[in-house]
Amino acid sequence: MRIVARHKNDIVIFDLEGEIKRSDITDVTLHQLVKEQLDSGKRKILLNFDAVEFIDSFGVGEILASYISTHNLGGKLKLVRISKKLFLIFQVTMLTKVLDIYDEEETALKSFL
Amino acid sequence: MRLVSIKPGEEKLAFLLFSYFFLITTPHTLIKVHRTTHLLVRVGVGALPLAYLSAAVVTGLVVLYYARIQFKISIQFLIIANLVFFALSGLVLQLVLETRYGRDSLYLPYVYWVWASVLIVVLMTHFWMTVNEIFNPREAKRLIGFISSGGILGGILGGLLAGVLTRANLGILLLPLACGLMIACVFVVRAVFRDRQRPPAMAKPVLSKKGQTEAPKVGFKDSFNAVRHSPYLTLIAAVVAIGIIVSTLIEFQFFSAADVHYKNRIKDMQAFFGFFFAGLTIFAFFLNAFFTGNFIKKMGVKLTVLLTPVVLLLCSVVVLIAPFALLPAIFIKGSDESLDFSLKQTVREILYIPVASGLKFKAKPFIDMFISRVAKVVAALILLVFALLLNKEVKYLTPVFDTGLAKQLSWIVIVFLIPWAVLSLKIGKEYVTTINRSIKMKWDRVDQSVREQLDVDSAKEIFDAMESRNRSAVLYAMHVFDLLQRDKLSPEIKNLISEKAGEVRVSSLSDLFNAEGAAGFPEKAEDIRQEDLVTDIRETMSLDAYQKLMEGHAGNVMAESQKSEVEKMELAKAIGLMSPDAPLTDRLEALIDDHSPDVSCYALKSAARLKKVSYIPAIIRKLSHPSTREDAISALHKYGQSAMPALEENLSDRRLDLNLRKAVVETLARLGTQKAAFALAEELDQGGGELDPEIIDALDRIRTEKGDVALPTRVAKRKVFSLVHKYCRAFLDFQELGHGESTEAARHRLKRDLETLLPDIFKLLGLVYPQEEIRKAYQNIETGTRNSIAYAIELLDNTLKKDMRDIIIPLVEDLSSSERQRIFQKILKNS
Repeated sequence: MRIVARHKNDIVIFDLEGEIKRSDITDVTLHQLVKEQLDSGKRKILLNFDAVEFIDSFGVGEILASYISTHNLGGKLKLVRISKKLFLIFQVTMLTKVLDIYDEEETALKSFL
Repeated sequence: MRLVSIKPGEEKLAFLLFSYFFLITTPHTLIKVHRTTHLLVRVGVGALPLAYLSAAVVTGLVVLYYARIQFKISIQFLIIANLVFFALSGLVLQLVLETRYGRDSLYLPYVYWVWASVLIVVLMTHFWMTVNEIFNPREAKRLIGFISSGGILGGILGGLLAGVLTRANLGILLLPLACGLMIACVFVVRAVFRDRQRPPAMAKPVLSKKGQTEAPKVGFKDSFNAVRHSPYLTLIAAVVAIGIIVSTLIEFQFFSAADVHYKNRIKDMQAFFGFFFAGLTIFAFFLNAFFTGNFIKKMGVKLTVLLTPVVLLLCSVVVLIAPFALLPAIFIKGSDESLDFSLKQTVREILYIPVASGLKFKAKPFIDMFISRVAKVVAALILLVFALLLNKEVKYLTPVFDTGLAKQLSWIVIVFLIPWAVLSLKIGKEYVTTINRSIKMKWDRVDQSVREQLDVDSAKEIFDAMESRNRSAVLYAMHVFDLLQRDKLSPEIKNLISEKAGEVRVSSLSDLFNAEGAAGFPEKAEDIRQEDLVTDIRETMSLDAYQKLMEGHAGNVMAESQKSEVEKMELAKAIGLMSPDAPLTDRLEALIDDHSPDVSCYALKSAARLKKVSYIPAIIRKLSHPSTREDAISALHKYGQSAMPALEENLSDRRLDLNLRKAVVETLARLGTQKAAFALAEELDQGGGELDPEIIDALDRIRTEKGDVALPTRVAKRKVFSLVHKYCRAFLDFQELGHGESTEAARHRLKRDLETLLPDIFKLLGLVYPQEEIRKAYQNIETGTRNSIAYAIELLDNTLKKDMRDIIIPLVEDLSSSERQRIFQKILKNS
């Protein structure tokens, strides 16, 4: 999995690529990257899933841990451009009840305002 | 400006309000001296109850009239019109007083008294309404002391002028001079409102500007209901009423003593009153300028409200003990009046500040004007009834008082001072509650709410089931079985995870689990009978033959390290479905330790089901790697108390990997037991500080989720001091660093320290004080508006104990950089 961070105003966008799986992680996880941004005072995080093929239970754990860390500090973490298949699984597992998911990046960015 | 706490940008408005107050209290004092002497000499001290009574009734009528007109005209116009009216009517009164009728009339002193009473109430109420609407609690606390000093200065000048002019046989000028000052005040009022209409740097736009909608109309009933339905406003009304009754009784004692002392020597009496009020206000001036602000700052509003009733209680005891003469009367009147000018008035205005603007608009004039008048009526009736009860002579509602009666009044004063003190205590508490209600919680911890909204374990199981389809039909079947056992195999989930099931490849364990059947779902739901399936699988797994067969298979799988990852996953998952005493479960420890994170993960989940203590060391080893960390934490969480000894041991072992110890902290936070909390607190106290942020967050989480878990506040307090020192040091170092590339890294590090230390300090405070209040205060300080920040700091100011308040408030108070540096250096020096 590859993660690239970019900034738009005060929003940090993480572009995720590949599969968020236990077996594919490097030394730094998504949650650790999110925490680094939180420590530097950032409070608005957007995870771009455009290039994510699949995630396993580890990936779910990473997303939820990032969500909890961000919201515990009064921030917002949102997801954008999830594949239809993943969105369906998110719906069935009720992750959509907790996570804010958007179709387009522009809409997601506007929702932070 | 540091002495009087005026910040840059606030000078002009502060000085204008200072002048406004000065220009209404100077005529007020001149008139007070003149009208009192007039009444006492012309009619006698027995006239006072009737004067109080008639003044209260007329003022009440004026209040009713104001309630009708104040919505039709702007407050600025209202104030100016009143100043002009009183100045002109004062001049007319002066002319009448100088006529033969004026000199002989026994009624005119009453008219004068009533006129002066209305003037005082109207002008004072308008002034405090203006101040009250301009400032928030923090600004008020800083500036009201200075602004009130303007009033006290007016009192001094008014008193001195009255004394000096009387002694120089120019007493005739007192009233015209007062009228001239009121005219001068008109220009100051105009300047105040002109300044308010510019975009203010310090003031909130509460007063309506031209073109803006005026406040909604409220009548007497609205105002009465507003006070009646608010316990806080009812308390304020009660305290104001008792205060006025007590002041009136004390004033009566004082005037009685003066009347007896000076008999009918009008010049001496008027000069005495002038110099007395001047001397009194000089004392009050110093009290206000150098004591009021600091006292409120140090003691908080909660304790300050108690000071006046306690001081007056002591004075009343002195009056009762000492022979009744002018001196003890001066002592008690001086105490009451000086406190009224300084602490009492200031605190009363501060008490109104947290009240919502609309509610305050209805209630404040009602309390200040109507309730005050009712209290005066009550005081007058008390005096009359007291005289009648003691069989004193009463002529036309004018009792003949003697010194003995005036002295005995102290008992009545004491009777009122006791409930005043009790209500003051209550109002102090209510003030904090009202401030607390004025700001909102902006967010809360979501750890618990996420768990409540989501079945995280089942969600993860579904993702793993989906993923397993492409790896092994056996794994897939076992996931389906797990979901079935948890009753989570809804038709939607069944459809979702059975998609393309035919593509699942068959593994070596297929035969044992009949993978062909498990790869897809039966056409009809009734084909799977959950209870039968669970029973069948459990029975199969407990068979000796099965265990022996699997033992051999497990041996082969474990021997082929690289090749057999999927088989190990299957084995790990299968062991989790067995009974804890099954021989195969001994293999799980090796599977937990497997180099493949996927195998480890399956083994960890199985370990969490079997909960054998022998697995714990292997599980803890898996806490250090990010890929297995979450599953290991989850497994240890499911072990519960039985994992505690190992967790405690690993937490305090500094030789271990830091990530592993951080994961132990997270595990203890999830356990959230009393024992876990104590283990965390002990490490916070004794540890090297490398785990501080994680432990503080864990304790904050436990406090949020498990309110009944007791946390050692002593440790939290000690840590607050330590972190505040770190914060101060980081701030000072940051200030000392110059700009440039060479210092960029250090600046970045210090900025980050400052960013992370403050929330940690507040989390620790939440362990010592009510967490919700501390959290609310922090959130509003971080993200609130100017006013909500002020309310948040005020809440902290009234919630924290002195030792904490002294080091926390400077961290969040709006201070200049140099001022902050000075205070931080002091904090570090005192440590």
